[in-house]
Amino acid sequence: MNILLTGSTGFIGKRLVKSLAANGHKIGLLIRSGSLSRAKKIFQNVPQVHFIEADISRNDVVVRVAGTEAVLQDTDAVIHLAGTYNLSIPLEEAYTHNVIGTQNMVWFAQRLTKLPCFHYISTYAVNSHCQGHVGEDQLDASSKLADHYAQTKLQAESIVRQANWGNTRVRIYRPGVIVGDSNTGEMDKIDGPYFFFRLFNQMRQWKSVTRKMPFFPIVGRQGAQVPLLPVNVLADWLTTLVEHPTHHTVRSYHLVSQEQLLVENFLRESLKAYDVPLMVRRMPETRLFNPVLPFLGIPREVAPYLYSTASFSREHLDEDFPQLKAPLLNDYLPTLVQGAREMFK
Amino acid sequence: MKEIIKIAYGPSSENYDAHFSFQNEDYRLKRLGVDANVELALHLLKTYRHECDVFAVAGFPPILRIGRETIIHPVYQQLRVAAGRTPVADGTQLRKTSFLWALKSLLKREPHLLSQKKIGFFCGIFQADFLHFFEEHTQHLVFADLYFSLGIPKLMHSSRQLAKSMGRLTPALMKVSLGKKFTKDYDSLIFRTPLMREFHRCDVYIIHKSQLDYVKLWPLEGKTVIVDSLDRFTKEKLLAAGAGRIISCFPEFPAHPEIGCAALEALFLSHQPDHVLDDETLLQEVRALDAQPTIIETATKKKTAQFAFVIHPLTQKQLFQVPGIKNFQKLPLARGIEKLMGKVPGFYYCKMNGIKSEFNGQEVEGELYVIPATPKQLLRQDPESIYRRIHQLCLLAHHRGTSIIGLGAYTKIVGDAGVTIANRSPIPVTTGNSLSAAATLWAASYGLERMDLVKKAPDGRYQGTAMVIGATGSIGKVCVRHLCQHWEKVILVAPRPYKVLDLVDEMRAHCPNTEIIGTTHPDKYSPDCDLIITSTSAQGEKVMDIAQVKAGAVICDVSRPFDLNLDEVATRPDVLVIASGEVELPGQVKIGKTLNLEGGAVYACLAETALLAMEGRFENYSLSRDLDYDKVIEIDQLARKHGIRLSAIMGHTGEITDPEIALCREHALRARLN
Repeated sequence: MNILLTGSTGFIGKRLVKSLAANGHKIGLLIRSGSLSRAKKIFQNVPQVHFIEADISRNDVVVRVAGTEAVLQDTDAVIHLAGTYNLSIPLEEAYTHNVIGTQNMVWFAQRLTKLPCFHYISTYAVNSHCQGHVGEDQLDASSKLADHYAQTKLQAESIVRQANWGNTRVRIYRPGVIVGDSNTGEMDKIDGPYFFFRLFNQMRQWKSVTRKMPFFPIVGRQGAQVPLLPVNVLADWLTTLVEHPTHHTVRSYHLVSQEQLLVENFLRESLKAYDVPLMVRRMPETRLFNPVLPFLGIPREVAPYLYSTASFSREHLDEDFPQLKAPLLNDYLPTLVQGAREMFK
Repeated sequence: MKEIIKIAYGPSSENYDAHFSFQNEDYRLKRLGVDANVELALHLLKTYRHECDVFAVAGFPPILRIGRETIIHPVYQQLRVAAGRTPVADGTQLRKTSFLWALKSLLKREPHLLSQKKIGFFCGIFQADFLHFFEEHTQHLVFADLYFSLGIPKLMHSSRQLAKSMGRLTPALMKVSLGKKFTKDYDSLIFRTPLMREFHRCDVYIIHKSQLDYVKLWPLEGKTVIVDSLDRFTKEKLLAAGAGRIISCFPEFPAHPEIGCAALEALFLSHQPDHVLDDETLLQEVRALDAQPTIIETATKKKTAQFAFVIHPLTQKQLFQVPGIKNFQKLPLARGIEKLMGKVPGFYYCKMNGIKSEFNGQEVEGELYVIPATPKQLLRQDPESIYRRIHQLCLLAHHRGTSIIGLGAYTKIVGDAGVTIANRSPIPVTTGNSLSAAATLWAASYGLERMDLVKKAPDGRYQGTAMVIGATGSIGKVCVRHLCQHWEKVILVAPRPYKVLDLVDEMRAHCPNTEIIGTTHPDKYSPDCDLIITSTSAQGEKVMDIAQVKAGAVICDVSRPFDLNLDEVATRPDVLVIASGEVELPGQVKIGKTLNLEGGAVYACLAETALLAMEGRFENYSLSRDLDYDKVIEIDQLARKHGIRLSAIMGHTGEITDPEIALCREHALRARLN
């Protein structure tokens, strides 16, 4: 397959390129000119990739040079993975990269007249304000979300859904919270559960304090879930999904573990893995505790996710790809914690 | 391919990226909504100013003209600066040219669209350039600017008032940052208070497209909405709000429904080599489009139109139907009571509902008001005191939300026949004479057809003689005009010779082929007449001798009380006497209390009031004693259109059935043989 990919130098992208290349696909990487040298260094051992100078915030995306057009028209799949991920991102940046970037990529993909399939990586956070069961096709473009990241991703997904696609099939993937590699524990940046890992890491050094604490308090709502997925699993899944698209014209999948994980259970297990002998106890449900979070190194934007009891359905995924099962948390949590500790060193 | 980036103040959930060709040129139109975030808009303008040919900005404050001052919002300037040398189109120039042009051409098609309508402006200062146009057409303007800019529940009613108060407030408003303030939910409790009620009750709303995003639209339900331009999302929003009729002063582009005012101006601007769009070029471009305003009639249930109607007891007997004074009837006090009741102010009587037009499905509800004075009392009293009482009823009816008031029976004869009342009333007034006249003519022609004794010439004219008694009166004149066109010979009878002569001259000028004779007394000519219409205010005095009338003649007795009394009529079974007047309203009509009429029949004047409500013609229609012939013709057409019919013709004693007419015909034929 000839695949075009954006966001290849990112946390997921690096692994996805390797996973796709391992299956023998030819991958064209759409790369900003500024990141070209970095990308060449990362993928120096991957002969199947070639680099195309592009910028998704430009109106026409690809910087056309002689010969590019023929290469582009011969594409079997476009994977749009690029996007800015950071919960505390300013709106201007999020809007440029996520909304306008996706708009331009959709435009770009529409120009590829023979393109069979367009793959868009969204996020589970577009429905993070919902409570209870969330279907894989559920999307309310007019909802107001707590952080700029989720808001712009929501707008981007609705652009993908509303666009006129002709014969091209569209796949929308909504991965859960991506954590480090389940085999090596490798992680690029501090984010999501890693804010808590960082806190636990520090707590190990304050033994005198933790010993006197009766319990570890957690805020949020009863039944709040955290849909974790290791990054290598996601890369493998995406490879399978890209290789075998079903016949549907538009299909969206929640890429989440089959195991439904409560925030409480996750924190309890993590504390255990960190050797902090503390009970986890839920505090009364009030938002008064939220301002305390930044003092503990947890951004305020994380708070809404502790209040969302949304449970993300895997119906489409189980129907089309029943073989895609994530490893259980208890099997890879020690590796993750190990990886995190190395990162904080 | 030309690239246009449209930065919209509105929600980002409506973004699109459209590709189309327009006037032989390829365009890419990309919309970026900023959710009321001005900083984001400025950032986008700065980032993309080298990547597109033209910017379109929509929904940001335009240049406002308040009174003589021109006010430029700081945000407007910031946007221009941020765009650098890339031209910016904001649609104001196009709107200024095309909005009024479209409205004018619309009014040519539907002259009554705005007349006497209450027009609500969500934000009048945005339409400041067009206000003079609306003020020409209606006095009832309601501006809710103070509420929508500051949350103050105070309505304004004229452009002067608007310019004065907004002119004072704008310096302060300029300092308030856009964004948060204008996006707050305006469906607050204050909006629902009685102070704002007048705004909720407008018939037509003028709204700027960008305001749809932050204003609650429930007052629009079932109403007419005029918007400056109509793209896909605007249409969806208005349909969701249940607007009864959507008028867009902007052509629809079915192939690319995203194009709005700003985008179109940007398209025009991109044509220009020097990126300057002057009025002249714009005019040519608009003409080249052959633009027509778009009108969308929605399937939603229209708001029920309400009318009011004033009635009064026609006889002493009817007066005593009022439950409270029933028992006084037999006492010698009856006359005193009648006199006393003549001084009592009017009051609400009952409701009428279920009237539904057969043409446009418009439902109409009526409210009946009573002045408990008998005809004798009404004619005896000083007109001023009657005016006062009717005026009070007008105020009451207006307060209860009705849009037009009709004057029934003798209330319309008093004084100058409605003119004074119309001048004082807050809502339009009609006497209903136009439809009364039309209904009389319907009844007459129905009677003549059934009797089948008068021959018709090949050109459709009756070869016989018709007579109008009371020809110089209001209904009489119209009958004369109608008959002169359809009969070979017409006799005009009125008590005052000078008036008769005047009318005869007038009619001869109109219809030179008709033989027209004027007289002050009918009996000389009545033996020759096939049709006699009497419409006098003789108060029951004898106006003609029925004994002399030709056998088989048709007499229409339009006057109330009747000119012919019952005993006289009984002596001539060979003459068809029609009391006419009554018609039937379309729909399942229910009247709260009895009107002393048979079946579903109602007074023609009441039907006219209901008809005007159905048609949405809230204007002073028939007033004064001079009935306009053109109006009678018009109302005749309207009545047929909406399904108002003659409800079986009425005689002095009730409905005249077809067998009765046949019997009358037999009598007539036998009498003629003798």
